[in-house]
Amino acid sequence: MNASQNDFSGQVERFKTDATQLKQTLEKAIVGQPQLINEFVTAILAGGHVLMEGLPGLGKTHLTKVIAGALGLTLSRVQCTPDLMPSDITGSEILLTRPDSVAQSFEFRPGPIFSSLVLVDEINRATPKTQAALLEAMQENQVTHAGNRYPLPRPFWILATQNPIELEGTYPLPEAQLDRFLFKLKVDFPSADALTQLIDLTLDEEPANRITTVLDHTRIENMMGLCKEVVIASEIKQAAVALILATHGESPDAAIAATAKHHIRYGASPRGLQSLLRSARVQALCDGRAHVALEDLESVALPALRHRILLSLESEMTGTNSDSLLKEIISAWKRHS
Amino acid sequence: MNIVSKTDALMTLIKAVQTRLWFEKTLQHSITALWGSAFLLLLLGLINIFWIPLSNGLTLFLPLTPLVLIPFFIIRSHPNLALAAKTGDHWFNGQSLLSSAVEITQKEKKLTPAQMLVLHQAEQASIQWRSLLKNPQRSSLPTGSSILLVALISGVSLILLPSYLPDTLLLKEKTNNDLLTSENSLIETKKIITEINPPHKQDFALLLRQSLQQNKTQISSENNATLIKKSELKANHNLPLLELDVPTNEQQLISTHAEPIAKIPSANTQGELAGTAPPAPDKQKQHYSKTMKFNSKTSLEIKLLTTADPKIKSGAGVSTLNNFAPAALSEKHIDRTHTGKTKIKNIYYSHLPPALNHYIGRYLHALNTNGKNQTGGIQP
Repeated sequence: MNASQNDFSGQVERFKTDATQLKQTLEKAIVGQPQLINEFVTAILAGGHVLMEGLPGLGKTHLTKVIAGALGLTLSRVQCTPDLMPSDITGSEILLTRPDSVAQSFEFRPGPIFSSLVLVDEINRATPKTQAALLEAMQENQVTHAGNRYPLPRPFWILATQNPIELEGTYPLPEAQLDRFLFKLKVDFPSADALTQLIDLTLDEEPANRITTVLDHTRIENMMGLCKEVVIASEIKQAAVALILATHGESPDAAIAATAKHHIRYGASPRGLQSLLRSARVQALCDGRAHVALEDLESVALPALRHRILLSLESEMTGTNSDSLLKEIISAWKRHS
Repeated sequence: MNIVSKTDALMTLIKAVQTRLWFEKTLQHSITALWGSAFLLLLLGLINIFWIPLSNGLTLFLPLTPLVLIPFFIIRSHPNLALAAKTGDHWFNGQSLLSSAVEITQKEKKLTPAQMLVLHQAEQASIQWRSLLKNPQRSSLPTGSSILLVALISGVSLILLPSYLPDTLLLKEKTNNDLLTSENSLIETKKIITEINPPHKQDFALLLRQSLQQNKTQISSENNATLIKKSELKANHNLPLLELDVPTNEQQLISTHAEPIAKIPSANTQGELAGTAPPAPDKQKQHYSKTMKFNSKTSLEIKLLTTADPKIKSGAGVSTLNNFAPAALSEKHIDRTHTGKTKIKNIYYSHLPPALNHYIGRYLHALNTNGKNQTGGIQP
């Protein structure tokens, strides 16, 4: 093994160590949700935005606060309500009068979105107009206001939470916005053991306050840069494409293809394919590998695709679950890969 | 940088996997072909036994045709390196390491640090996995091989068995060359009668009784014995006739209600009824007969020839026929040859007690071979 190999191998090992350390730190504050933490860290290291869905009180907001503390990043919070305006998020121009002059001028005051970590709490309580204000920021990492472009800090993550759509007073996110989230994470109710542990951990103090910073800004950028070096073989690329096509009813398994065609109105987008491979690279590095395996694709497929398939009206009315449908598709895809 | 020189262990492993994969695919195709052969063997064997007698050459060589395709599949199933690498990943749980490494060796000329690391990891893993490949955990015999073997043996047996079965068990269509002479037939018949002597009489009678009990429920009023008129027999072409000669002692053991017929149709050779004047009734014998219709085209008459004193109205023979013959004989036992003659075959496959089959088989053999001018048993 030569020097460059040694160096890269060391970087991979360090990535694995740091990622493991980050997960362990989060697990100190968020108990009983190891899969949620693993997927959350994967999305963060892949540089993607995360949408978390779960009932109130399950620790969604808490998780974002903890990650901000562990990464040593500033966290802005936007609490969405129906009367929230886009300018409340992106910022607005205010009229300034200088004390030494009678002249007045407009000056742009950045909103809470100008932060590395933005917690958009209960995003589906905001109106579609306000939700749309996030589109440009999420995709292009910039805000355009009054003809001027204001770049957002890098790295930039939006961590949004939402309550299940069945609750009253919510506005479903449009497909275009959903597609911009790398992962949609489901926050399940913790087990009895986890709840007991939660009492001991959070009854008297806020665990987020005890979180120490494990990674700094530079280190995170290095880790995100390393992800781009990970080798993806043609076979893996073809498998990823096959998985995306399977959501469009083009599975090699005829039964699954028929099921997908029946239940899915629109399958995953090309952005879904990118999300799949970007997050699979992180999974590979977390496992100490410099190449993506089929297992990596499988592990990230559900959070990367569950919000990218649009069920048919009939399926929605009959209560078909996109997760169970995707699990069937992924299972069939794995058999044929 | 020379990639190949740095991936010796990897390429050796991939080649080994490629060879093993090729071997396994060949084996798989061979087994599939063998299954095809076994199926054909069984099919032809069953046809040979139950329907049309086939020549052994045809039945043994026709099933070999699937095996001829094996070389074609062997050539066609040679795996490429990518497939071998993918299979290797599957075998060794390699998490796509071999696939990634093989692609790098095949496509890339200038390697990135990540690609070099992948190759290095693949090299290290290949050394370890090579030893695993030498000691495969998989069973050397494929699943279902024993079933396949049984199927093959059964198929071959069905084809060859009829040639080796004793004549008492097998009623086979004979050619003109091996037809028994009437003299031989007479000897054969006498031999059978001799066998039903005191040591066997009791057994035979018990078996008949047992058969009576077993089949009592199966008998409907339609199946009861019907007396056969001469004119009816004439109208029926190719009506074979079987007569069982049951000694007196056995008649007495069997209680029944059947009635004797007054006139017994005579038959010419080879199963065709002459239907002219019936033979003069033997004072020491009483004839009973029964006609069973299996379908609209086939009728079979079984006649029991007793040696009882006519004064004893036991009717044992007809009763016996009523009760065991319908169960014993079915359509599959009727062999309609191309010449239009109807013969009885394979009665030994019935569900009758073996000993009873033995006796019936002996009679039927004589019936099918040559029963001309016999006494005391067979009158085709």
